[in-house]
Amino acid sequence: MTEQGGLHKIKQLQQRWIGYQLLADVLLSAAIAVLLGSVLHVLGGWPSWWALLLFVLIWGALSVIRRPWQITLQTVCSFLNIFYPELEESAELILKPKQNLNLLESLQRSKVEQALQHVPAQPQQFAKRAKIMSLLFILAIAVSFALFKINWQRHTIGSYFGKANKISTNKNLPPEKVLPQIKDINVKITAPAYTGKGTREQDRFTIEAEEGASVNWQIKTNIAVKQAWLIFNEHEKLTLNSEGDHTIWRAQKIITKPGFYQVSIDGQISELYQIQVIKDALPVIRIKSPKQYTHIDAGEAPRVTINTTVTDNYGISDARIFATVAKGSGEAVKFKEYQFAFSQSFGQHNRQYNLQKVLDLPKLNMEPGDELYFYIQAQDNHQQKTRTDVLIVSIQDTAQLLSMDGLVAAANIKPEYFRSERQIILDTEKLLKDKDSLSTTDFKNRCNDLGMDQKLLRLRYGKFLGEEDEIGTESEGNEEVGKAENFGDAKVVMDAYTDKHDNAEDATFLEPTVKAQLKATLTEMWKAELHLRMYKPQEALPFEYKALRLLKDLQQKSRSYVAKTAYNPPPLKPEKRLSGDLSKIVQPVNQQEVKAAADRYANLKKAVTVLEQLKYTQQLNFADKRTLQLASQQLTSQASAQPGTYLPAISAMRHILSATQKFNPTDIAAVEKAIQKTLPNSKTMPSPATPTADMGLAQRYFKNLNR
Amino acid sequence: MNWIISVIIISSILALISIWLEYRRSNRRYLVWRILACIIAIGALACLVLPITYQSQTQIMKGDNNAVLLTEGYTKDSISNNYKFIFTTDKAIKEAYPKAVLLSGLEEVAQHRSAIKNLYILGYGLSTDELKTLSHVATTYTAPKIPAGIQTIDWQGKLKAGEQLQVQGRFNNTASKSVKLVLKGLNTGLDSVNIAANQTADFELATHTKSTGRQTFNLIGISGSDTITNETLPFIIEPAKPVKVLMLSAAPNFETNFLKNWLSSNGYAVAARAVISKDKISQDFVNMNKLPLDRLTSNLLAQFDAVIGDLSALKTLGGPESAALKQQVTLNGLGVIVRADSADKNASWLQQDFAITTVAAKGQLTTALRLQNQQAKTAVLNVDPSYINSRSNTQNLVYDTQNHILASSAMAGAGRIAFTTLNHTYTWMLAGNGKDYSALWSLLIGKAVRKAAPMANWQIASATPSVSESVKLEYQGTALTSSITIDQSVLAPQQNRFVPYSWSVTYWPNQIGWQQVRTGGNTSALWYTYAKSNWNSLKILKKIADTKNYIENQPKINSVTKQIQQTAKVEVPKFYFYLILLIACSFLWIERKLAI
Repeated sequence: MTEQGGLHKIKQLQQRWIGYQLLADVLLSAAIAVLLGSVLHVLGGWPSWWALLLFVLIWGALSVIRRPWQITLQTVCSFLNIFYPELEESAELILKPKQNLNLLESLQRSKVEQALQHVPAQPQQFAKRAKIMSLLFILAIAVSFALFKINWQRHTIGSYFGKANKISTNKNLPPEKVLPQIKDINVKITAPAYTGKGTREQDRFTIEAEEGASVNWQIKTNIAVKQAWLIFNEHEKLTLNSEGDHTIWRAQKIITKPGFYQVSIDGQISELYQIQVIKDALPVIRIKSPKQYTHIDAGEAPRVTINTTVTDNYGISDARIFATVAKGSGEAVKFKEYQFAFSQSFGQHNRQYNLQKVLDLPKLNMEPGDELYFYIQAQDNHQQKTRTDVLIVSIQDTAQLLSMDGLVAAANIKPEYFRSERQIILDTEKLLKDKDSLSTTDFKNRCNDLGMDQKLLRLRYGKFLGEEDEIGTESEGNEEVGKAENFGDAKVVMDAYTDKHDNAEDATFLEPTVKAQLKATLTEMWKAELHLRMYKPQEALPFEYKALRLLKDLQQKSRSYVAKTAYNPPPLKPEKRLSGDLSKIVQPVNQQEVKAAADRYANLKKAVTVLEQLKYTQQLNFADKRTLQLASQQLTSQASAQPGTYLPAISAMRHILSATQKFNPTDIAAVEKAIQKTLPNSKTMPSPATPTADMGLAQRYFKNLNR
Repeated sequence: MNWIISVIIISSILALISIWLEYRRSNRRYLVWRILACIIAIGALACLVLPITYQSQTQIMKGDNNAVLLTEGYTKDSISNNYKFIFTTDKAIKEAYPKAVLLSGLEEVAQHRSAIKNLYILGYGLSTDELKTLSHVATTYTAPKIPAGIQTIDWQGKLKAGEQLQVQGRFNNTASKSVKLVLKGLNTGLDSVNIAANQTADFELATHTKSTGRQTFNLIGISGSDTITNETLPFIIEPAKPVKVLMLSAAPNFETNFLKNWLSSNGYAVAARAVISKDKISQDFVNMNKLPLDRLTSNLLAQFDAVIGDLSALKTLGGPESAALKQQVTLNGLGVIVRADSADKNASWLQQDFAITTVAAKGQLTTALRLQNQQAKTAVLNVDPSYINSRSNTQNLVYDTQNHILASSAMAGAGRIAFTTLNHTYTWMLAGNGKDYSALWSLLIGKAVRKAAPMANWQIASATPSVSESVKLEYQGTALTSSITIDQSVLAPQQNRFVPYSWSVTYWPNQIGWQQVRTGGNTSALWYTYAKSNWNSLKILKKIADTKNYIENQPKINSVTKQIQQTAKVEVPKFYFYLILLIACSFLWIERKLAI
């Protein structure tokens, strides 16, 4: 009994082991299949039954490699020997036939059999691998679930992936009402080439297509149909052509305008379907630099950096700079035109380009006083062009600044000040010219003198702003005080020893804007003086010029502007004028008839009243119906331009016109809303008041009052 | 009566038998007492069966019972315990407050009046018709808290095309959330206003109408996502009636020319006279026949509804011409619109109500204008700094941004004069701003123009004519010769006793919507019947006011004098007879027990 028991136990262990190995393989292959299958399905769009096939394949392969059925009793015994020391390395004895055993062996065998009783039926080591595999499997399932989740979200957001052309967004739209004969529809929209989009298919009649897209309808009917049309905007008919057994109908049309259409099968007309057209937007050009007006002062680099971004909804095919250079002044102005391309190529027709271009002005033969006008033009795939505003770059003409024109003519000027700044500039330029022929000390002296002049000038302007006088008049004041007749004169003493600044009179001497500009001028003068004192006349020159330009601007501002006014001629005074003989002059008499323009919206206005009554009476007579039909026509013409807004109103109007009683309030509301949107505000016109009837009572009262 | 006699007979027989039985008893103890007890017991028994009443005046005089009538909107806390009767005519109140006695009508209160000293009305009160039935009962009323909702409301029932629809009112918001009032027309939200939480606020909503004819807009109150009120605003938009205009100018000018073109392009008849040279005038007629304009006569002016002229032209009119104009204006209601173009001191009667202050130092100013009854400012305009002084008899029409008056109107006898210092309004037209130009001149001409011939006039005297409620319609005009019908039912008008040209008709509409008043087969008026649920808060307020008013004006009902004349039969409570019966029987029973 015990002998058989030992053998039985080992065989049992063998089966268990094989079983666990098989389970581990199944789990491993399932894990791999799930993971691979979901990745292929989500990214590659493979059908999900591929996972099953994968599973079978992988499992087969694993089994062939590992061959779990080949676990022999011998292997089990050696396993037992390793893990259970109480068997004393003699588990194999059980397998041997009893008769072949010697005494020692049989003694040992009985001992082993005893020990074998204590070996558990399921050693932990068997299940270890299966446990790991099941964990792997759970992990695989989790990963694939996450993949599906991400995929689903992406679909609902509505972006496309891979070559899936069928529009999945349509699934979320409300279902359309189609005619009962229609079994299946397929609308193929081929976007025009400029969009760079391909062909897409949909199973809905409502169309949203790019301008110029070609639309192919294929309608399958469940019974043979004699004829079928598509009716566009209620008047344009497009016949559908059938193939063979009159159950498949096709038509094609290029969509350029928005509107709506209906399907008519054997005289039966469907509801209205909307056609929306996505227009190609014009390219958009955004100029980051330069500014609208760029002024290049003397001393600045005569260069313009054009930095711009061009965007379009489909693609840009070209962008250029068109420039005009204006030379000379007055009647001698000459224009020359240039065209520049950007260095980038537009071969890829990207949606956005960041473009840069540096214009070197001297290369365009531009000199001080010349102006450059330019604009940027961009073209998209659909040959649509946009251009920017004209930007102006001008180079400062120093000669113009130094001219005396305007100073002589202007009424309100301070000539000596301007002359001084101009004189400083002239002196500085002369100094720079003479620099080579002068000794260093001489040069420095003259430079310092110029700085001194600049300072004096600055101080003179500073007076206008109520600034403190730096030079000081201490000595003069002292002289005054020192005089005998001024002894004890408090006013004179005060005058001499007090620090007078921020004079109230000075504060209001100039307007705030003028003051601000004058301050800016003083700052420039400061900087010019600084550089002159450092014996760097070259660097002082730009500041001198700038100060002069600001002063010129101040001068321009003093000119006054005369606004335009309305003028009524005074009435004639016949006693003073027109004393000639007018007896033969005929008095003019005009008569004309001016018809007031007919109200375009009269039908809609009448329809409002009809609808208003319909809410309460729930019946339409013939005249009312006629009014509504006319209004419906007007709304239809509106709908062909804006189907999205007016289509619900038109179908509601149809319901009203076809119903005999029980008018749906929501239909009436929909039509009313559309009418409100269409109607313009009423014109205000004078109108007499209607008094209440009093049978002449007020009149009599008034007469009696006047008596 | 038979019942009473038979009861008396039966009980007498019973009494005789029991007396005889008592007499026959061997034990003669308490014989007299026993016989007495028997008689008393049987007497009491009879009294239980018979209704014993007595006439009592003192009892009635004491009837100082207070009764209370619960109406919608009452609060339970206000019902104290010393009310003898609690009545209601509302089933819902009976359900909410089971102690109340449900009456089928207020007439039943009157039946109880003998026992009621004072009837307290709680809640929102009763309508005038209902209150009439309580005329014999002394009543007291304490008004409850004002209910939430619309307190007052007004809008134009009749509009001219192009006029703004203005809805003004007051809303009481008792909730802790703000309420949004939306003016909705043709299923489109047109204007809205927010009423803050726990606040009573005035509101004003306005919109430009787009259609003509009868229309209903809605006033919707939204709190959060709940619609708390939805009221209907019916109104009728009438198309503008063209008028005939005569224009006089001292010299051809842009202003006149633009005005003429604008009026004529809208189908108005215009005649224009301008002095072009010495004794020479030019005459223009648009949309009308030629008339001799070289001399203004009374007959000629009678053909026009309004005269638009510059002040210098009007001043230079000859004596007869000026007199004809004055006569037409003051007696026949012709309108005059004066454009003050000169600061000439030579005063004219047209000028007497309008004193002008000219700010000499200023040149022309550019300013936006504000028109009467229009919130939005106009576009800017060049304006001469001549301003009209405000007076008590003038109505100011146009202001600039500093509230200087630039146009004003005043009455002149039967007619009206509009006076303006604006002389360059054509620049608006030049700038393509037809809207402001139309608004300004429509205002000026509309104010002054001769009133149209009075029409037969129907008015709805009821504030909120509702379905199944009486609606009073008033008619003013010549006596009606043909029958008045509303919805195919012929109505008999009642003439007003004091105003001879006024009649009134009472009608009970039975359907919601527009109703027509037809006289002799022609539609002569349109009016709107509201649904019962419309204007609930207003109806409640009216009830409260009506009840208060009734209580204040009710005749003194002296309860004492009334009750002396009343002699009421008072039934003696059965309880006493039970007691007597019990005592008598107990005596007989105990006596028998003791005898043994």
